[in-house]
Amino acid sequence: MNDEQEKLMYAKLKGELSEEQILSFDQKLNSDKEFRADFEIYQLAYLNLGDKNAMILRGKLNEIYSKTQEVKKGGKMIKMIKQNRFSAVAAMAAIVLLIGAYWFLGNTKESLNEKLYNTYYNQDEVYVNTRSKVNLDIDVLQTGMSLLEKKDFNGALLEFNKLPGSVTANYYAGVANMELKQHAVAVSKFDFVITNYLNLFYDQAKWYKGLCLVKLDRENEAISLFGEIANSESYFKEKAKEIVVDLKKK
Amino acid sequence: MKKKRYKDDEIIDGLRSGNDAILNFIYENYYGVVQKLVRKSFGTESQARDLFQEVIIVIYTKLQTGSFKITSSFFTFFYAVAKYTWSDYRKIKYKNPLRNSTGYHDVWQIDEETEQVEVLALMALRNKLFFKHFNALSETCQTMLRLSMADYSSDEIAIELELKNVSYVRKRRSDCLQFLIEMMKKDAVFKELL
Repeated sequence: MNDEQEKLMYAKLKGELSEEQILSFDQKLNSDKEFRADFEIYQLAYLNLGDKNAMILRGKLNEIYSKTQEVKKGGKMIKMIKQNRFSAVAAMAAIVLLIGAYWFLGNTKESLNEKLYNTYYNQDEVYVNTRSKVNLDIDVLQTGMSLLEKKDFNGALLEFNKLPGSVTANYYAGVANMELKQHAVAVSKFDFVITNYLNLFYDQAKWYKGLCLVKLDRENEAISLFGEIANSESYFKEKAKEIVVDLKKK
Repeated sequence: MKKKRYKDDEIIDGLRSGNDAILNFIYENYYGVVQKLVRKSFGTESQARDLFQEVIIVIYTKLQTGSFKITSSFFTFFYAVAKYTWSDYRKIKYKNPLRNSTGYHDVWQIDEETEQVEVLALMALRNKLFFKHFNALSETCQTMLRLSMADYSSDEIAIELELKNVSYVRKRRSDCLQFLIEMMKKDAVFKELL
């Protein structure tokens, strides 16, 4: 879409076109598929972003949702504490047993998780699935991406960390953290991406978070996350099903 | 303390004006059914949250036009739009051949409002898709587009973003818009919605 077309669309939405111009505009809409698609999207941007009150309403709804979630989490926590108050002795015993088990099984478990992680983590996929979706016109992201591709992960992190509020930057920072074996940090980066379902990196972030959890020996969390992916329409759906089976075999 | 109930007229007026008490009431009373609807077909919490939000937004937008008329209760109408939107979304995602088949519309038994519900469900889906791609843009891009669609000039955007070069703002804004358009055009769901 060129500037002239944008001006025309803007005038159309503002009701500033003459009858003759409207006629010609509508004819173009009916005959030119590209123009129609451009206009549909432009109209969505205009209606959604131009409506200040609707944007305020979105903010309010997000706020209500967040508050409710906090209250729910708080409630759950109190409930758990109450339920577990009398189970402290049992919990201590379990911890002792777990520590013992770690000494006996630690090495074997680690190598199995290592194997699973290496089987399912494919660095090329990180780029293949997402490269086209990166906003390359942004200087910081572009520099970060370029460093990431050159495998300068520390350098890339320095760039991506300049944009702590950006979903894209957090996603790629998570990938760089994975490459640097900083899996716990990577999890927090992916968590940031996953918070908002409406973004292009949602599926990838979930999948890589799952792999990080495997690497961190947090199998139960990994199984639950992969189960979620397996039941969704994610690109990683099939792989998630496989890895759940593999994890449960252990 | 007994929770306050509201009549449909009060809910509609409250939503129209973005009244906080009404929004909280709608959330407390309606979110659960949307969550149940989504979870029933293995949807996620995020999908439930998005669906709820988009349905509220489209009804709000419709209310601003002054042509909003329903014969059913507000809840029935809200639920119908939610169900329709979710159903359409899933059918597009799963490419279900039953989409648009007859009988599909009979489920909600609100004949008078069916057309309005259909339009709003389509709007909700389009908005959902729009924000999926919009939120993936950088913050600078988002701000530029938001301000420009709210009629800010390039000079005003430059001031707002503390940028000195106005021609850079023009170029960036245009690139951001172009990028957003390209991303949406590549989206298979958008193609279905066109």
